[in-house]
Order: sequence, then C-alpha cells, then structure tokens
Amino acid sequence: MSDAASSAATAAAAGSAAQPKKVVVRFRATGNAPILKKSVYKISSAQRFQALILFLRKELGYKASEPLFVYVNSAFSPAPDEIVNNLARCFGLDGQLTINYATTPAWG
Amino acid sequence: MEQQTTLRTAWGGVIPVELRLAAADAIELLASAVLPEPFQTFYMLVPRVSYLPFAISRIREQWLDPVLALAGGGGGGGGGAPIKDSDVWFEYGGQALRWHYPAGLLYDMLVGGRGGAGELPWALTVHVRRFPADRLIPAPGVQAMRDMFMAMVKEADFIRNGSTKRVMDLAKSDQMQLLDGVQTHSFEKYFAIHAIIAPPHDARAKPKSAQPKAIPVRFYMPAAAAADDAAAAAAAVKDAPDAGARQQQQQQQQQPVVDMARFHVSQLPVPLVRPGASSSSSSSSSSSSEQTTVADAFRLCYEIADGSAFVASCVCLCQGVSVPWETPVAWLAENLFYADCFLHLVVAAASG
Repeated sequence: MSDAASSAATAAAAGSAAQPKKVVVRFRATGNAPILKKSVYKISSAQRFQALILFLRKELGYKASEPLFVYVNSAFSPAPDEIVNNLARCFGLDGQLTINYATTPAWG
Repeated sequence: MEQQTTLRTAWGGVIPVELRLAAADAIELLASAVLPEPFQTFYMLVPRVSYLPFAISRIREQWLDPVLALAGGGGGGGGGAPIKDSDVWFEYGGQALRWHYPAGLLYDMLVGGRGGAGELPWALTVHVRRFPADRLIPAPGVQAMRDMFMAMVKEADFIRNGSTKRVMDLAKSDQMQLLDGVQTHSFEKYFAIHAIIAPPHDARAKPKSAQPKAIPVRFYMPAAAAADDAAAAAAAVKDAPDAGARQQQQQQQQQPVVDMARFHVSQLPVPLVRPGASSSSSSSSSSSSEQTTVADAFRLCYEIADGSAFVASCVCLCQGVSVPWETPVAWLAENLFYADCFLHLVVAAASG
C-alpha cells in the first residue's frame, strides 16, 4: 500500500531531509480516463509532484508517450518539481489531497 | 498613487546578464571553444518578473543565429543539427537554472542570498546541447513557459480565493493579454488583467469580498541555512547567542556556490490576519498588531513556535529587496508580488 514511496522515489529526492510524513492522496479519473482499482494511497510528503505522476502512470500501465493530464482539486496542474507536502498543506482537505487525471486537457 | 509607483518599480526591475556559450557546445557548433570576436559575449537586460525561455528568441536572433550563419558561410565547423529552443538552458556556477522560476527569484536564490554587493552583470553560460533532463523540467520553450505560467496563476488564484474561478472566467483574449504582458514585459498589458484576477484590496471599499482568503507565499531556503529542517532551526534558537555565529560559519562553508537542489521550498496559504488574533475589528484597516508579518508567515510555513532568534540571523529577500521581518504580508502581496501572483521569498543567512 505504501510502496508508492519506494517505487517512484527515484525522481523525487527533494532538497530537504526526507520527512517520514505521509500524505493521503485520492486519485479521481475524469472524462474517459481509466479508473484505478484502488483510489486512495499514502505517499511520502517529501516527494515531488513528478513522482506522484510517475506512480499514477505506473498504476494505470501508461507509457511515457501516452498523454496524461494531472490536476489538483479539479483546478490546476502544479509544476512537476513542487513538493507533495506543500500541495497537501495548501490544497488538501480533511487530510486528503485530491488528484484528478484525464487523457485530454480538462481544466486548461 | 504611491502604490502605482511601487508596482512600476517592482515590475521594472531588470537584471543585466552577460552570456557566454558553453565551450563544449561552441566546439560542436563551430569547431572552436571560443566564439569569434565580437560574438564572445552577449549582454541583455532580463526583467526580474520574466522568465528565461522568453529571452531565448532574442538570444538566438541577435547572437547565436548570426554567429552560426557567419561560420556556416565560411565553410568552417558545420555544426551539425540546428539549435532547438527546447535544448537551450542556462547555467550559473555549475547550477542548471530552473527555467520555470522567475529570473529575479533565480538571482536572489543564487546571488542575492549570498549577501555582499551581488554580481552584475550576472555571468551565465548558455547551453544549446545536452539538456539536463534529470535536473530540469524537460522541453522549455515559449509555449511551455506560457502554459506553466498560467498554471501558477491558477494555483495562486486557488490560494487567494478557494477556486480558480477568476482566472477561468477570463476571456481568451484577456488571458492572452496577461501572457503577452509578461512575455513582452508590458506593464499596461499585464496590470489591466491583473486588476481583474487580483484586484487591490481597499479596506474602505464597500465590497468586502475583494479581500483574499490567504496570500500565496513560497519560501526558498538553502538547506544549509535551514540547518536541514525546522526542527534544527528550533534547536538553533535554543542556544540563541551563537546561532548567528554558526550561520556565518555555514555561510562561509557554503560559498561560493549555492546548490539549487539543496533549496528547501515551503509553500503555505498565509492568512492576512495573524492566527489567534481576534478579527472583530477587521472592518477598518486592521490594526498593525493583528496583521500577519513576514516573520509570522515564516514561522507558520516551517511550523516553528518561536524562532525569533533564527529569524533575526537571516535576511528575507523579496524582489531583490531585503524586507524587514515585521513587514505585513498583505502589503508585500499588493506591491512586491511576481507576475504569477506569488510572493517568492528567499531566506538566507545575514552577512555579517
């Protein structure tokens, strides 16, 4: 369940000392994007957003060439190097960060 | 009126930059590590609020393309594949510059934060080959930068208002004007649209809704100055007397190169009124004791209870200006914001 951290950790390695904290992330499919078998994961808060995208791609079995658009709160796409902890603190609700994904651009 | 002046001054800030082509790339393109006179260096002014990808077309048109054309005409070099914008990147002191950060923020992180008189012109190396995709977001370019910028504006809008409605409701032409304003550094174009998405808060105006819920703030702190984390920062506070000395030591060890990857970036929606302060009197301009200060924002961001000694040993740079820690965040947010509507604050050890 928490192997999100280790599996996608390669791209992460943020500047700060790794915090042991985890963030609860809920993935929601939008449009005709495939639905995940399991939608809620715990992800290390020190990761970059890029690691979260890679993890999602892996879970979906998406190759790098296939388009995938990833948003926070159905509102905007963070830069790939933003830290998950910052996103969770700014945009999380009830201790949970909502990530929407789509195969075509959804929210500009 | 006074605010207009501040806005214009902040918007007008430019960094003189001296560019040289990376030797390895010059060899590949021209079969010589040094470009022929007078093309060895290229000087330009990069607006603090702007972004490096917006400078690439000028760098190519006025510098690189003519050099290559001349060299090509002379039959030397040959150069191989043409230059692609998405391969162009900038380096300073061994650091690949993050193209999606405002130029002023990059300067404050890598030069301003080291204290002293700064470095002008700012000597950067231009690379046109071997893009470091492991360190930078791949495929920079004008369109990629415009997309990235709009995403940041939306993120800021979400923090200010709890939704991206203001930005999403912009007409397509207004959105284009906002982007063109940044890309061409046009005060008039940009601020006509900025006034719609982030109207200046006037305490005397009747619709109270103009007041944002929170201010989008990002702190950037070198891990060394941060002493790795807030916990260590709090520890440094305990033995306050020598905290300053330790900072200086660390700073000296750190010179001259600040590693970009070692920056700790912390972002938080910062409330206008200090948490815990009663907001009952917020009808008028809230009294200064209730307004969130930069020091408050820093403590909130790093979850430090006190930290006044740590704060005192550091400076906070906003748009290249060392701002006093007691500055209200609300004032900064209306005057010294970057084009993406964020306050990007660089925290660095105070130079002795």
